[in-house]
Amino acid sequence: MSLSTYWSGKGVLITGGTAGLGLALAQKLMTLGARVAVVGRDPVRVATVQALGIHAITADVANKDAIHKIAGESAGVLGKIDVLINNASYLGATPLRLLLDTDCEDLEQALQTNVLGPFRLTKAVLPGMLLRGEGLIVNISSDAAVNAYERWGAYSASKAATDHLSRTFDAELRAQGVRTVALDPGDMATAMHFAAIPDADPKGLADPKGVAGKLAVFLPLVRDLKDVRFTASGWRSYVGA
Amino acid sequence: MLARRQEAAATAARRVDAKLLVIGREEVRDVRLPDLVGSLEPGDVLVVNDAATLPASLHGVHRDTNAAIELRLAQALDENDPRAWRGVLFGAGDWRTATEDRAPPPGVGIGDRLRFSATLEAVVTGVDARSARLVDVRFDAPLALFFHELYAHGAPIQYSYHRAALHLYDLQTLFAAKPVALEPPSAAMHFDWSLVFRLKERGVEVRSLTHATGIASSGDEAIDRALPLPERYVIPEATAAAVNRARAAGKRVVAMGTGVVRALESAAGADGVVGGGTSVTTLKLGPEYRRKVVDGLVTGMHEDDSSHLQLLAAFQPAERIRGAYSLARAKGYLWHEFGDVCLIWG
Repeated sequence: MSLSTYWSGKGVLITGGTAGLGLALAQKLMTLGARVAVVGRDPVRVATVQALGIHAITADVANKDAIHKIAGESAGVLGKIDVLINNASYLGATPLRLLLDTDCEDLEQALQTNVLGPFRLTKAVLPGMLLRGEGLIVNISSDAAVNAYERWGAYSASKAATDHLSRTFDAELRAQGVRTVALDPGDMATAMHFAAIPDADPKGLADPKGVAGKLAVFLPLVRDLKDVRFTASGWRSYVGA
Repeated sequence: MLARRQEAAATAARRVDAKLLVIGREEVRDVRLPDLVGSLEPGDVLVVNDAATLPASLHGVHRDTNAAIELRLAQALDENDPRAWRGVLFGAGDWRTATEDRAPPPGVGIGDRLRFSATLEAVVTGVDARSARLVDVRFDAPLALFFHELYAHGAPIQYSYHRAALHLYDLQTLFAAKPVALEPPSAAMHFDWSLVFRLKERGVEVRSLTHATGIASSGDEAIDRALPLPERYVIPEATAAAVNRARAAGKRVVAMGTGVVRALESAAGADGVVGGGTSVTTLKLGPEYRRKVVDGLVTGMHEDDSSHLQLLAAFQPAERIRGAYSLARAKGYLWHEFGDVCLIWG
């Protein structure tokens, strides 16, 4: 199946979609014919993205009351939601600090934004997918979910939790036609990366537009793959990158 | 009017072991929701409603008089433009006051503006001959932003028998996907996906259609007499095909909720064959109605809702339903949209 055949007419909802990888994915998938809605917290960035012709919703995925508004508005505008990309991430308080120096409220915030929010939004979009017998949930992960990096504790734990929710969802829903995957996009030159590592060398970081292009090729393949979680090099190996 | 003496389930918590009253042709059984699996046969088709509940109550001001108003959206008027609505106007106050006790709204005329927020206004485009409170409006948000504005400023329609303000998330059924319902199509309130998967394992085919569930009551006698207002439905070709296949094979078609009954029966030809597509239903079922498609109905317990009882009478004689409901009262069944469940066979 060609790339635009897969993406053409697909309803795609992307959280954290007003910057970085989320915005790059929104733009790429729209050029391939998908109908896209993004979510962001910052109304100014939302307005900027709306002006690009991408339907943008101002909301915080960590807010329980926002979830059905996001799902309802997206379904109303897109018609249906075939792919949910949980990309919005809370890094934790910056500068990043030792877990020992991390306030419990910051850990809670990481869990709310990175685990509970995606969990609630996934449940809100699943009914439509299950009734159609097909759908795709993509949880953007990180190698911090697997490796123990000092000062990345809150974020790491939350990403590990969502990785495992992904595995359980896939075990429960694959037979119903819905695939759930968690993937590490790899280190990219994004605001989030520089917030974590202010003196990172941009030359060593991938361009989110390039990553989005490769993901657009990879995601249609996951229906026939066994794995749930993909490392940065793992998913790239399927697209010859 | 809804009776106070009935035990309304006031919490929105899903109860996967809710009581299930099975009103069969021969007997009435008091069982539990999980027993629904054994009540259906392989090859039966269960058709559910995938409508998501909108935040259809908007509080605002009638600009001409500065009077506080509440507008409850009641009927989408244009399948190609979500900004055109028929709605019910209330005066000041909110759901905490019983609908019939609400202050009347100011008189409105065509061209009057209703302001709900700095970014959401509507103009009155019509006033119904049956009641000055039943108005047609057109929201003037750009089409792309209408849903955003509605979700930002609307609240779910709810009633005074609820003990607390409901969140939008309390009012979405298990199957909620398409944002068109003004009130929850509540028959599936206690279903969970585990039950759905067990039904599928049993060989029951689960299909969906979209039916825009309307408002239950308005507090205005003239409007209440006109309910239900015309309700749009969309039946996917795959659902129509599944229903037709089941009937041809002598299997049963079970509707999850009264909206599904009305949509399927409206979409069926005289021969009972259902066509896919979209239309509007004004069908009111009653004891005289001869069902063409639907064999069984899963619904809630709504004793004081006369139009609901009329619809049930299309499945079983009124005395059998009254007898079954007496049993339910004796067994302590809970009523209204968070109450217990009923499966009635025709």
